[in-house]
Amino acid sequence: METVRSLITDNNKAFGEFLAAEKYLISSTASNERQINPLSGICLKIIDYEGKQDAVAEPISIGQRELANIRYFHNSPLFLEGTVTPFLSSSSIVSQIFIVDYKNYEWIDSGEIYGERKVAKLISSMQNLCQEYSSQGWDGYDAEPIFRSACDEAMRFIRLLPFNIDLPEVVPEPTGSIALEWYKRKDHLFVASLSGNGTIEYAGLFGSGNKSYGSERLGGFIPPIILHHIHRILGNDLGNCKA
Amino acid sequence: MILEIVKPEEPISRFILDKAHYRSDKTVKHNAFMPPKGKTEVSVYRIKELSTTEIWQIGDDFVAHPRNRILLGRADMRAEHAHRQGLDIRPDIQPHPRHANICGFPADNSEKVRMLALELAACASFYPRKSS
Repeated sequence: METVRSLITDNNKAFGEFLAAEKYLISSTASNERQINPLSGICLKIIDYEGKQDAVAEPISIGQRELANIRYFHNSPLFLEGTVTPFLSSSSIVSQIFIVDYKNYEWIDSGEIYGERKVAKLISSMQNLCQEYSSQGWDGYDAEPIFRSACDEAMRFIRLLPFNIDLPEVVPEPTGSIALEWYKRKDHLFVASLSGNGTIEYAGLFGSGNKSYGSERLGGFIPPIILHHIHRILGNDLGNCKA
Repeated sequence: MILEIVKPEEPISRFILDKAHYRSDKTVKHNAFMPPKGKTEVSVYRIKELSTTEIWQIGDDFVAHPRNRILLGRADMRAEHAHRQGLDIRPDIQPHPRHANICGFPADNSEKVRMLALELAACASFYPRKSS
C-alpha cells in the first residue's frame, strides 16, 4: 500500500481526510480505555520539494499542541502557506495521512476511512432520492418511477468503485433508471446508468467532439472501460492515486 | 408560425419542472432531454419573437399549472442542435400553437437515446425562473 497521493490539488479532501482520521482515532482508542493512547496519533507523510526529501513526520498524539497547529494549518485558506507546524515548509506537500495506532501496531490509510464515510453518505442520499422519485411523472412529464432494483444496483456499483475515485452525482432518469454522473463541464462528462437488469449503460462527452457510449455487464468489479472513461473526466490516468 | 417547418436557427425551449434536471452551476442535465420509457419524443415550445414574459406565461399556463407544478426554469437551444443529432422538430399545436416535439429518438436503443440527450443538454442554456 505504498501509494503517493498528492493532496495539494484538493485541499478540502485533505482536510476531510484529516478529520476522518482524527475521529477514527478518537473512537478507536477512547472507546476501550476512556483515554487516548499517548503513542497513537496521526502521521502525515510529507514530500518536501525544497529539501527534496520524502520524510514521514513523527506521529502526533491527540490533544498535544502540535495537533492544534496542524488543525489550524489545514483550516487555513492557503493550504501550503503560513505553516505553523515545525516540520512543514512552504514547499511541503502532504502526500498521505496515516493513522498510527501503536496499541494495535497498525497503520491505517485515512483515505480509505474518509472514502467509506463519503460512500455511506452518498448511499444514504441515494436512498432518499429513490424515495423522492418513486412516483409516476416525478419530472412533471411522464417519467417512470425510479425502480427499487435500479437503486440497489446503483448502490452496488458505488461500493465497487475504487476508493481513490471521486464519487459521482446521482441523477434520476425518466426511464426509471439511476444515472451516476461525473461532471467537469457540460461538454466533458460521463454517466453510467443502472436500471436493475445487471447492465451498465454508459455515455460520455470528452470535449472536442469526442464521445462514447455503450453497455457492459455489471459483475463483481467495475468494467475497465467504465473506469477508463471516468478517469478521462477526472483528468488523469489513475485518478488521485499513483502507484 | 403554426405548423410552419421549424428552421435551424429557430429557438426552442424545454420547460423544467424538477430540480433534478439542472445543476447548481446552472447547466442542464441530460435527463431533461430524455424521453420516458416507450416514447420517442420530447416536448418543447417554439419561442421565436416572444418576450421573456410571454415565454414564462406559456410555461406556466400550458406546462406547469396543468400538472400542479412550479416552473423552475427552461432550457433553450437552437433547432439546429437537434437537427445535427439527426433529430427532427415537428410542430404539434396541442396544447398550444407553439408546441412542438423533438422526434426521432430510437425506440430500441436506450444507450443511443442517452447519448443524444447528453448532446442536447450540452448545447442548451439554462434560464432559471426568477421569483417575482
